Parts: sequence; structure tokens; C-alpha cells
Amino acid sequence: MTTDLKHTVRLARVDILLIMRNRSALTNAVLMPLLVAGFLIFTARAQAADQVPFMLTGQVATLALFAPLVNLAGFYTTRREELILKRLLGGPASATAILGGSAAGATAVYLLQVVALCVAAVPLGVGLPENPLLLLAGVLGAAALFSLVSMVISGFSSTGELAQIATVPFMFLCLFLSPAIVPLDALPEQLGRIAEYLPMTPVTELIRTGFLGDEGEGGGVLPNLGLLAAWVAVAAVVARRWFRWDPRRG
Amino acid sequence: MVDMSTQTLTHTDTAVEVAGLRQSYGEFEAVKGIDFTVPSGGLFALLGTNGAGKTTTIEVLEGFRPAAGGTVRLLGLDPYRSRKALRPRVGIMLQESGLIGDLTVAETVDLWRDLHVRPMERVAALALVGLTDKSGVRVRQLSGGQKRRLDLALAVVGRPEVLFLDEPTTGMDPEARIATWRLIQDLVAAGTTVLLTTHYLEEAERLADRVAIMHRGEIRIAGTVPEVVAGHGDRVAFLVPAEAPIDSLPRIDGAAPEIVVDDGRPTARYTVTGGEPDGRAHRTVATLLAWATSRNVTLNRLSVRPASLEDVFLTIVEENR
Repeated sequence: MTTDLKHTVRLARVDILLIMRNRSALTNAVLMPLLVAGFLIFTARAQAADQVPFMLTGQVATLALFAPLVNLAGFYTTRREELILKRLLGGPASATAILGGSAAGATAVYLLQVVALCVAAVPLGVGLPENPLLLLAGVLGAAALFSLVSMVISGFSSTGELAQIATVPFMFLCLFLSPAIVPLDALPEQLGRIAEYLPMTPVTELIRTGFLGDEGEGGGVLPNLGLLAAWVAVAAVVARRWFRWDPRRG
Repeated sequence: MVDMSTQTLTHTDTAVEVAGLRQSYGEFEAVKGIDFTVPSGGLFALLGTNGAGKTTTIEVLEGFRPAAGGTVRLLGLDPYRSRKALRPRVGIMLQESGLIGDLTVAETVDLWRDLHVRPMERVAALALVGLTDKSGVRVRQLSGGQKRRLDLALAVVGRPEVLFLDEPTTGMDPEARIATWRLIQDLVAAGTTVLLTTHYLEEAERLADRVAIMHRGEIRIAGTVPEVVAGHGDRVAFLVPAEAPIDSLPRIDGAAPEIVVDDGRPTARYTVTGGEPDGRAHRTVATLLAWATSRNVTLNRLSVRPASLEDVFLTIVEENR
């Protein structure tokens, strides 16, 4: 194992320990998103049983907006303001390992939630994922993308709470301009066309295709993989430009 | 004695080299072209008022930011560009702790140990800073001084060749401060190079081989403590007698005494410069005793001492106010 990877895993372990130890973080990052997902899936089931696969796969995508985005943005910001990031940067771990460690911890939480929904999918009649590798690619791509976006949002936030609030507009954009909750063809035509190119659309399409095995309305795996990779690259460039290690003082 | 036996051998006699370092924040020039070196195994104290440029200088040396001008070398390498190679060889204690409050002391040290290649045992690191009995306590429950001690443990747990200590004893009680001084002296004796910044001038006076006093981005004076205080004269002081008005106190070499309040009582203090160092204090005391005898007053708490680092520091600040 390379030193960077070893450090990333070690720092991720600390973050998972801290989430499990902190009741509020455990509730906000792990339990609440699952409860909301469960509520939406069971509501869809009560309305029409054939909506369950759509809603369940949409929720697998939506969960990426919690631990890897909302919580991570708060985490990075609080740690910067408390000089923990700087303290870590003064040690042997690289910047990539320090930021990647927290992102890996958030990704592990997200994966745990995805597994919970995969298990729930069996009694709900959806069955197990048809293409687990593609599902994993979508999930990991989403985690990478939203971790980078959390760094960007953290860069212009002065407290952990403000960072979490600052994620809300982006969250709404992702939820309502993507096929996560409503199909794209239910949106006004112009809006639907724009939504096709927004980051949550390829995430949802890849996850849905991975889970259900058909290519849905999103237009194929490769274009979605390409679009997601492009958004990850853009987010990486912006995160590099905007993320700050030093708190804003004075 | 601190066991630093597994630290990598340094292949240079000079651990820190700073030449013409400049650093600005927008229009404000924080560091205006400073030079100093620290030999391997030495303890160098960088002193100065708030805003003097110490932290900026230290942060460049620690590799947190690149040098805007001039050259900086740490163990022969550029600390910003060669961060990856240097960090395992360097220990850093920041001015503020930056510790994770929800981890215990033991978990914090274990995290740091796991990031290093050849760390000390946790028990040894905690024993060094006197925190053995706090091993299971959450960091947020430690006092300010205990957090500083934990921070010091983290700075040394990787057996660094160069140790940066930024205000290491701030918030410590006197016992912990003396224990920390002893630890720093042990580290230096074991071959570690230490770069210290402190507001406690007696700390620098007691620990440092060499000191530099920064003011407004420049090094105003540097050298060993005796070199720095040399030329700043002696201080002769006594309590102002109740029977003698302040304006009746004699002038020495044309200069009136400075009146300071010591223990709530006015104290006259003369700065005696010029002439032979061995003779000037003698002459001054003789003059004062002759004056006291002629007035039939007693000079209580009459004392003579050479200038201290604090005197030099205050003189530099006053001269540049």
C-alpha cells in the first residue's frame, strides 16, 4: 500500500469513528437520509407499485447528497476553522490524503446506505442490482463529484453550519433538475434539456441502469460516464482554486 | 533523556538557511528581506512583537507557503517544493492546537504515530509531556496547558530532525513550563534542531543558543544572548526613598533615571552605557551612594545587573515606535 493510500485509509477510519461517536452526525449523516429515502419509497409504493424501482434507484443517487456533500462541507469547514486541517498538513500526511481521508470516510457512510437500500430492494420486489459494477461506478463517481463540490462550498463558508446551509441550493438543483425524483420528461421541455447535462443526471442514470439493467431515458452508459467524468474534472479544478486550508481571520 | 536514536542522519551542517526572505500580503510587506541560519542541533529563537513577521517566516520554513522572494532551505531542501520529503523529518507545534476534540489523548497520539514511519511508542510520547494519566480523556476535556503538552507530544512523536515550536509554553502552569524547557533541552542534546518563537523572553534567554529579534518585518538584532545584550549597558535600580522627591534624583552621565513601578512602589532605574563594562556599574553605584549619603537617605533594594533580552527587546520596540 502506498504511503498516501495508507494515510487516507487511516484518516478515513478516524472520520468514521467520529461520525459513529457523535450522535448528531450519526443522525444527520446516516439515519435521517435513510429515513427520508424509506419514506419516499414507501409513499411511491402506496401510490403505484411500479414506481418503486424508479424511486428506490433515485434515492440511491440522492443519498450521495448527504454524507459526501452536506456533511463533508460542514466537516471540512469546521476542521479548517479549528485549525485541524492545518495541523494535519503540518504532519507527514499529504494534502490529498488529508482531504481524501475525509472524503473516503463520507463515501464509506454512503456505501453503507447504498447497501441498506440494496438489501431493502429484495423484499420490495425490485431485486438485487443487475450490474453491480456499473452501480458501483455511479455511486463512487457521485461520491467523488460531491466530495469535490463540498470542498468548493467549504472554500467560501466561514463556519460548518454556514457551509451546510450553502449546500442547500445545489442540493435542490440536483434533486429537481435530474431524474432522481421525477422523470426528466415530466419537466418543462427547455428545463428538461438543461437538466440532461447537469451533474445529478448522469449519476442517477448510471445508478438506475446499474440497478435495473435498462438504459432508461438518459441515453446510454458511455455518454453518462463521460458526462460524469467531465463534471468531476470541472469540480476538481474549481475545488483546487477555491479550497482554503487557512481560516479567514481578522 | 529523549531517545531520538532512529532519526535520519542529517547530511548538512546547517539545518535552516534563510537568505533575503521577503513576503507580502497585498500591499503589506510582512517580511522585508531577512537572513539567518540555524546550525544542525542548535536552538534558535525568533522573537518579536505581534505582527513582526515571525509567524510568516516560520510558515514559509514549515512549507505552508512559498517564499515570495529570497531563498529558504530546510535540511538543504526547499520546504514548499520538497514538502513530501521533508515532512517526515520535521515536527511542528503550531501556535494554536488544532486537535480533534472528540478523540481521546491516546487515539490522537495513535493517529499521529500511524502517519509516521518510525514513531515513538505512545506510552513514551505521553510520558515525555506528562500526560500518561490523561490517556483515556477526550481532548476537548483537557485544559489549555494540557492541550499544548499534547501538541508537543505530537510534534516529537515522529522523532523529527527539526522541530518548530510556536509559543510552546503559552497556557502552561509554571511546573509544566519548566518540564517543557527540560524536554526541549533534552531534544537539543539528542541532536534535534529547534526553531522557537516565544513571547516569554526568559524562555528564549534560558533555552536558545542564538536569538533574533524581528520588528516590522526586519531582523533588528541577532546573535547569541550575550552578543545581543552586549552594548545595551547595565541596569542599576533602587526604590525611590520616601524622603527624596523624584526630581531630586541625581543624573548619571547627564541622564535622569527612568521611574518604573515595582511591587507598587516607585523604582528608579538607570541604564548605564559607555566606558569599560567592568567599571561603569561601579562608578554609577559610587555616585549614587555618595548622593544618598549627602542626603542622609537609604537606597533600598539597590541592584546592579546586565541588560537582559527583555531590555534589548523593549529598547528596539521603543526606538521604532
